[in-house]
Amino acid sequence: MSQVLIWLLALLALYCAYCVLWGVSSARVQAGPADFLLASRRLPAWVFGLFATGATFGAWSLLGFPSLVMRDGLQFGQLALLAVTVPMTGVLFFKRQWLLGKRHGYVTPGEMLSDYYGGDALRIMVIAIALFGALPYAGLQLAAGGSLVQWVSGGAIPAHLAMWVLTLVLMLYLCIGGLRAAAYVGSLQGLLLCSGLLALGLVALWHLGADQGFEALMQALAKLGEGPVGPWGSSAQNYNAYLASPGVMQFTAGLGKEAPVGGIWTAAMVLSTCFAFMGIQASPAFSMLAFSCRDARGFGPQQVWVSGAGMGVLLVFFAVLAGLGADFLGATAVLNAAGLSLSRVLPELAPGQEGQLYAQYLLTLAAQSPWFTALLTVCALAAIHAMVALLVTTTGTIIVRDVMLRYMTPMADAARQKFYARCAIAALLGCALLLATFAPNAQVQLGALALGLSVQLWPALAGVCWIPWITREGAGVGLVAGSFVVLITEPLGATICQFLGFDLPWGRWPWTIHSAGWGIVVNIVFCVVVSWISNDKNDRAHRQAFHRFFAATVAMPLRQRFLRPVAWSLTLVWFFFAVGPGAILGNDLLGAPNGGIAAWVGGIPSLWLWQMIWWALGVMVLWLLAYPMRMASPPGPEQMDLIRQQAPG
Amino acid sequence: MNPNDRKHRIASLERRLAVMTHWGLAGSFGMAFLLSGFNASDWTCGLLGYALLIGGFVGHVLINHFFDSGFNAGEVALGLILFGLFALVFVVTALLTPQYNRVNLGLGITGFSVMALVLALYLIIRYGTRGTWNIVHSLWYRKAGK
Repeated sequence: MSQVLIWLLALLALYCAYCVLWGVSSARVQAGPADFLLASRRLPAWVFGLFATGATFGAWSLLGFPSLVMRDGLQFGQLALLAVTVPMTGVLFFKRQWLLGKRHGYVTPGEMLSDYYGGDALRIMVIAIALFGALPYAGLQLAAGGSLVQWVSGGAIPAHLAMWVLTLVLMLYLCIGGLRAAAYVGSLQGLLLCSGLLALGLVALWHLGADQGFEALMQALAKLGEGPVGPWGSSAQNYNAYLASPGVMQFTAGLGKEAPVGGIWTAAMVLSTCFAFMGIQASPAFSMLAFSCRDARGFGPQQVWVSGAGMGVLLVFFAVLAGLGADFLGATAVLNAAGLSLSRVLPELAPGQEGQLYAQYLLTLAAQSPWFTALLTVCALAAIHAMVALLVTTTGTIIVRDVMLRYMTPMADAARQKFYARCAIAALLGCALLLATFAPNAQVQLGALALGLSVQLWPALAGVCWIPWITREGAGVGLVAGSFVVLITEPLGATICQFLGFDLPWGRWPWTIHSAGWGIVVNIVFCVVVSWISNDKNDRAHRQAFHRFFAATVAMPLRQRFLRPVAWSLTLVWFFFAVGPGAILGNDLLGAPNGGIAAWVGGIPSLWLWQMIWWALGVMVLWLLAYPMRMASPPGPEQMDLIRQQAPG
Repeated sequence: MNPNDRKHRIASLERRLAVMTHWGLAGSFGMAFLLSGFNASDWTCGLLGYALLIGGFVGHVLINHFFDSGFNAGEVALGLILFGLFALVFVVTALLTPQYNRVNLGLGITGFSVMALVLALYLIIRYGTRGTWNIVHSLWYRKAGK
């Protein structure tokens, strides 16, 4: 038995014991279903901050992001700015949803939307979106965890065995402790995720050369920039596509039909992918996490400092460093063949094997420090568990409240509700496992829809929190239309069409726009038009009551309202230049990619420096929205008194 | 469970969670760096490990401050047992391992000295010089059975 395997088993045992310990400890303070389903709305701010970060950024930032930077270069690195865009959804919606949860006692977003808009259509759509998150998307994460263990253990632990055992542990502590256990364990998981990302960047730097690693990487990038070496060749501006964005938009038929020139990550693709990931915090799971908070003190710090600043520096600097570094450490065959690699520490990863990058980095430590290999594996597994735990516990609750209590057993007592929730969690994890084990291709196609569908809740949530003129019909029709468009711009739509006997004229993500981007545009258009047609005075009065409550509790004072146009203008400017069409300026504004280090400002490729600058500015924009605009700051004592007066019970 | 009792239990649970979360990170990475330091006879790694462990202790003190509590008996016992165990492992390994070199010896002595110093510093800041002396004195008397 190798040393890595021994350490891995030992640390996994410790991790599992920790999870079960907190499952049991959480169960011992449970007082009823409210505790199991929503932690009695008593989650402390710091637990929310860490858990929300772990669940938001989860495994994709650790396992997926550096791998794709390695494959596509700095044009994909632009997505490091997700650290700023993702929490913007939280800034917009968390505080107001939390307020409504306190006032009306909502447990699920389905209850909130149903109460606000009336009718059950939106409730049913929320259930569907939650299921897409909890089944295929969670299954994808679990499968990635199993594969990681298999790679790190050198095949001694098969992927399916690892996936099943780790999921059973997850099931055990979630079924015992509910959302409280998920959040309590999630606080360590969030920290382990951040440590894993930091460690990954440092390992890459260490392999590049302990003292001069960064300079060596810059020189290698400069050499790379001299020619078109790489899988994507040159961009339209005749720069190496590793170091430049391939344009604002390319009118291609979509992946699978027509390949874009110089890479897929055009400005339009980056922006629309940002929309897709912004769907994470618009998902039903995060609405419920907002409901479960004791107070609003955690929202601002989580969104601005932990996500925007903390995760931002980890993604913009360390994860990009790990991805770019891998190219020159032997992982990319094309660069090895061109004689550009600095060393061969990593094995060559063939196309499609990029997902192994994290494991391969860890294995470089196995001979000298097997405990680090094992510890960093646990970091990634913890990150996976954080996201899956949130998705599954909240979807379990949604099934209990929005399906069982609403339609099947409305008189179920406290014990029965808890029992149903436990059964739902076990069933969801069981189905995710079965899907991951026996139908991995279907799971990939279904999982791809999860983010695109979640962001379709944006207009409906915007109606609840900000815009009273959005009607039930508008929100519902928009949601259906947007979801349909997401479906037909993803592979599942093409598969369904083929099954029905015809082919779609486009592939995946036509015009280099992510399905979430297509969906949200269509959704907003339908939502606005239908709301305009269907506005009814009585319904509007009902919705307006919610907004009067906001005006009384969390609206900005009149003397500060001049900030609104300033803040929103700055936000739009930020989106335009950081992740929108303006980002194309970053290709060579700070030095042409083929100009070498001497031409680069600060000796860093222009696009990377551009990302760093806009990340820093993005944190400022987030801060402006969260605090001076009061969108994520806690209400004052007087407002809290008002909220308490209006709260049930 | 009456509401006050439950509130108190949740507060105590949250403090324990903060302590365990904090040590889960600082302890695991601190130990990993320490092991790497000894394994590769590398001062930087070893000292980084000690820095993380000391950071863990400082963080624990801050958590106690935020939750308005002190170290409980279990934590003190666990801390002393672990400190003693590590010291024992260090001495035994140093005596029995022929390839144990000066760097490893230096790392061990530096680390344990610094940790003892930090503990003494904490006691002096928390209880004052006289208070610390009284604690040591009373412990000595209890141990001696006087």
